[in-house]
Amino acid sequence: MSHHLLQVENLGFAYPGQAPALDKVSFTLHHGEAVAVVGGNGAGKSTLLQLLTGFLMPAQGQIRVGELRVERRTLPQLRRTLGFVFQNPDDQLFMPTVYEDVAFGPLNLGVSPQDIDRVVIHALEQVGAASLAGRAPWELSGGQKRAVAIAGVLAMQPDILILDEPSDALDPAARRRLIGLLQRFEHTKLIATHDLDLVLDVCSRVIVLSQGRVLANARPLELFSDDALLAQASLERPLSMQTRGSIPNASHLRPIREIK
Amino acid sequence: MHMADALLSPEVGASFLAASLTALAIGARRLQASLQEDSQLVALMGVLGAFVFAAQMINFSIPGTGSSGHLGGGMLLAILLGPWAGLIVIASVLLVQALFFADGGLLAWGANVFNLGVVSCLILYPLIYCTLAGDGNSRTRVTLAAVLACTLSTTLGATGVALETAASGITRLPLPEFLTLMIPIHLAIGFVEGLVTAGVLAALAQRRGGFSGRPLQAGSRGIIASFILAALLTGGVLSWLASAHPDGLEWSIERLGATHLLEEAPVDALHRQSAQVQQITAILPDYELPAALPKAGIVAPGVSIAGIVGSLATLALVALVALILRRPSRRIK
Amino acid sequence: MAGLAHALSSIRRADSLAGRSTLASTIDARAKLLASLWVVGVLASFPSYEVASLLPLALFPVVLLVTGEVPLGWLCGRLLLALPFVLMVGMLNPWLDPSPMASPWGAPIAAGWFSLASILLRGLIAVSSALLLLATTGIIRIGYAMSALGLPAVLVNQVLFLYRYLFVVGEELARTVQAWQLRRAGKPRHGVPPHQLKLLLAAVLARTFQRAMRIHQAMLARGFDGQLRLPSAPRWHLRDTVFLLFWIAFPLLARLVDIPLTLGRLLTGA
Ligand SMILES: Nc1ncnc2c1ncn2[C@@H]1O[C@H](COP(=O)(O)OP(=O)(O)OP(=O)(O)O)[C@@H](O)[C@H]1O
Ligand SMILES: [Mg+2]
Repeated sequence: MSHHLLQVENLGFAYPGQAPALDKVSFTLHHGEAVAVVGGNGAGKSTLLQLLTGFLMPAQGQIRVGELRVERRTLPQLRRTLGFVFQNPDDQLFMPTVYEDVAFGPLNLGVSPQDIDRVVIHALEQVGAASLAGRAPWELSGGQKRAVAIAGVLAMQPDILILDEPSDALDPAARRRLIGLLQRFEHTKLIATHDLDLVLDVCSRVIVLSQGRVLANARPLELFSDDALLAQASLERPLSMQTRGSIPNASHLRPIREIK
Repeated sequence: MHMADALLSPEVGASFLAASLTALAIGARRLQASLQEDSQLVALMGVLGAFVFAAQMINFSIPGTGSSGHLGGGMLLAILLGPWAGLIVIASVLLVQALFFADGGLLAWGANVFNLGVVSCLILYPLIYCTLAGDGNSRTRVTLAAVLACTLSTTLGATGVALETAASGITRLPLPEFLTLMIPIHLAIGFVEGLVTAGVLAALAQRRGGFSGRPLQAGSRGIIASFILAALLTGGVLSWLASAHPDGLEWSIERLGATHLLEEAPVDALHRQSAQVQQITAILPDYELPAALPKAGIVAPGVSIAGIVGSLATLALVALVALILRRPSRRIK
Repeated sequence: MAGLAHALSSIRRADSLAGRSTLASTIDARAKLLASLWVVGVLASFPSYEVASLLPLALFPVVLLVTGEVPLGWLCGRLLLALPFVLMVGMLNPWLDPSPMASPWGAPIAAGWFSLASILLRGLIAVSSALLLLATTGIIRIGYAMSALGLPAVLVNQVLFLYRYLFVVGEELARTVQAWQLRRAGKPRHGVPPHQLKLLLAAVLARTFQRAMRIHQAMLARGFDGQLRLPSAPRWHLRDTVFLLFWIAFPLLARLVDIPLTLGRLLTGA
C-alpha cells in the first residue's frame, strides 16, 4: 500500500458557464496526517471536497485514494474509505433518531443487525454522545448535531475523515469540544474551514486556496506568520496569534469602559 | 375533506383499506426498482412530503367568496415525482395527519388515501393532466391541465367522501344533499389549487431551466388503466349501495336482520341483494336482534331504564378500571 | 402563519408525550397498532342506532390514557379540533330521521338523536384511540411496526422521512410566510391570496429541492445504494400477546353481548 493515502494531481474543474473553480490543484495526504484547506469565500474549498468524494467529476487531472482512482466505477468502494461530514448537519442527519442515523451507514455497508448495536454505541461514545441515542435529530443543539453527524461517519470506519466547515455555527464551548474531539481521532483528516485557530490546534499542514489555485502548502505556524500571503488569500492571522495592534485600523477602537 | 372513522362502516373501510394498500404495494414495488437507478427520489419524496404537509396548513383565500381552503397537493406531487411516488407521499402525509391530528382515522386511512391519492395520482394525473399538458413546455397548456386536473380531483375526492359516508349508512344525510353541500366549495378550492399548482410549476421551471416534471413511466400505463377501471367500478358499486338505501332507517333495520318489522313495506330486490352483499362481506355478525323488542307503534328499540342504568354502571366500571390502573404509577412517584 | 407554527408545536408536544417511558409505552407497537385497528373496526361494525352498547369500547382509550399517563387536557384539546366534521355530517340526523324510538318515559324520541349520539360516541372513541396510540408509541415506532407487519419499506421510510423533515421544511415555510405577513402592512385577511401563495410556495419549494439534493449526497456518502434497510423490530414479549389477545376478545364480547343492557337488567332485575 502506498504511503500516499490521498493524491490529487493537476485537478481542474469548472461549473457550467463559469470561470474554473479549481485550476491545476495538486497535493498529497499521508497516513495519519491532519491537513486544513483554507481560503476566502468562493476559493473553491467546497468544490474540492465534492470532487474528492465523487459528487462532482473532475474536468482535468485525477484523484487517487490509496490505489483507487476516483471514478464512477470505484465510488461504492471509495465511500467506505472516505468519511464526509457535511457543512450543515441537518442535511446529514436524515433518519428519525440519532441511533438510526448512526446505524444507516454501517447497515448499508453490510454490518449485520446483531453487530449494529455495538458499532453504533461505540461511534457515539467516541464523540461523547452515547446518551443522545434515542433522541430525534431536530431536538439537538448545534454542537450535538455536529457530534452525531461525525459519529455517523465514524461508524463506517473510514480511513480518511473529510470535514466541511466543522466549527461553523458552533458556540465557543461547543467549538472547543469539537477541537478536542478532532485532536483525539487518529484518522487522516482533511478539514475545509475558515477557523484558523482550529487549524492551529488540529492540523499539521495547511493548503491555501485562492481563486481555485493552490497558493501555499505549508505548516500552520509558518503560514500564519506570512502576512502578505494571508492577505493575498483574503485571510488573517488566527486570533490567538494576533496582537491587538496588528488589526488594521484598530487604533480608533477604545476600551469599552472609556467609551462609557 | 377527510373521511372519518365515525362515519364509516367496517365493510366500506376495509374495502378501501384493501384497495389503497394494493395500490401502495404496487407503487412500492415499482419504486423499489426505479430507486436503484435514481436513488435521489427517496430524498425528494421525503422533503416534498414535508413540504406538502406544511403547505396544507396555510390557508388561501378563495377570491370572491370570503371563505378559504387549503392545498391537497396530490396533483403537484404526481407532476413532480410521478404517479407512484406521488401516491406514496400522499399516503404518508395522510397517515401522519391521522395520527397527530386525528384528521381522518386509522380505519378511514384507506378511504382517504383513495380519495386524495389514488384519484389524483393514478386516475386524473395520467388521464387529464398528462393528456392536456403534453410535453409540459407550453405554459398555457400546463396551466389549463393543472386547473382542470386539480378541480376534478378535489371534487371527486369530496364526492368520494359523500359516497363512502352514504354507503356506510351511519349518518342519515341523504347523498344528494351531502353532495350539494360539498361540491360547490370543493370546485372553488380545486380551481384555486389548480392555479397555485400551475404557478408553482411555472416558477420552478424558470428557476430550474425547463423543469417539466417526471415523465410517466412507460410500464405504468397498464396498471394505471386497471386502477381507473377499478375506481369506476368502486364508484359504481358505492353509488348503487348509497342509492339502494335512501331511507336510512329501513336500511339499518335490514342490517339488523329485523326485516320482519317492515313486512308491510315492499322490499325491493336491490335491498335484498345489498343485504346479501353485506351478509357476505360482514366481518362481524350484525344479525342479533337487540334484546328489547319494539312495542306496538314503535319501529325500533330505543332506550329503556335498564339500558340507562346499565350504561351508567358500564361507565362506572370503566372509571374503576382506570383508577385501579392508575394507582401503581402514583405509588412509584 | 399561526396555523402552521401551531401544527408544528403540537406535533412536538405529542412527540414529547410519546418519548416518556410509561406502562403503555412498554407494550410492543405492533400490538398497540393492531389492537387500535381492531377496536376501531369493531366500533364501526355496530348498527348505527347503538349508543349504550358502544360504551364498553371506551375502555380501550381509557386504559391507554391512564397507563400512558397522558394528560386529559391534551386529549380533550385534540378531540375538540377533530370532531367538528363528524358533527357537521351527523347534526341533521334528528330532523332527517324522525321515526320514533322507545324511551323510558313513554314519549318516543326521534331515531336521529340516537344515530347522532352514536356518531359522536364513535368519533370520541375512534379519535382518542388513534391519538393515544400515537401519544403512547410515537410515530417512529409505529413506522417500524408497520414495516414489521408487512407494509412496504418504501412507504414506511417515506413516513419517517416526512416526519424528519417536517420541522426543517415546515419552519422554513413558516418563516417565509411570516416575512410576507410582516411586509403586508398588517391588513387582516382570510388566508393568503392565491397569487402570493404561489410565489411563497415556489420559493420554499426551490429551496426544498436543493435540500433534497444535499440530503441525497449525504445518503450516498454513507453507502446508500437505493435499497432501504430498516433495523429489525424489537422483541415480542408475552405481555404483548396478552395485551393483543385481550383487546381482540374484549371488543368481540362487547359486540356480541350488549354489556350495558345485561348489566342494567341484572341491576334493575328487569
Ligand atoms: N453549484 C454551483 N454552481 C455554479 N457555481 C458554483 C456552484 N457552487 C460553487 N460555485 C462557484 O464556484 C466557486 C467556488 O465555490 P466553493 O463553494 O467551492 O467555494 P468555498 O471555498 O467553499 O467558499 P465558502 O468559503 O464561501 O464556502 C465560486 O465562485 C462559486 O460561485
Ligand atoms: Mg464552502
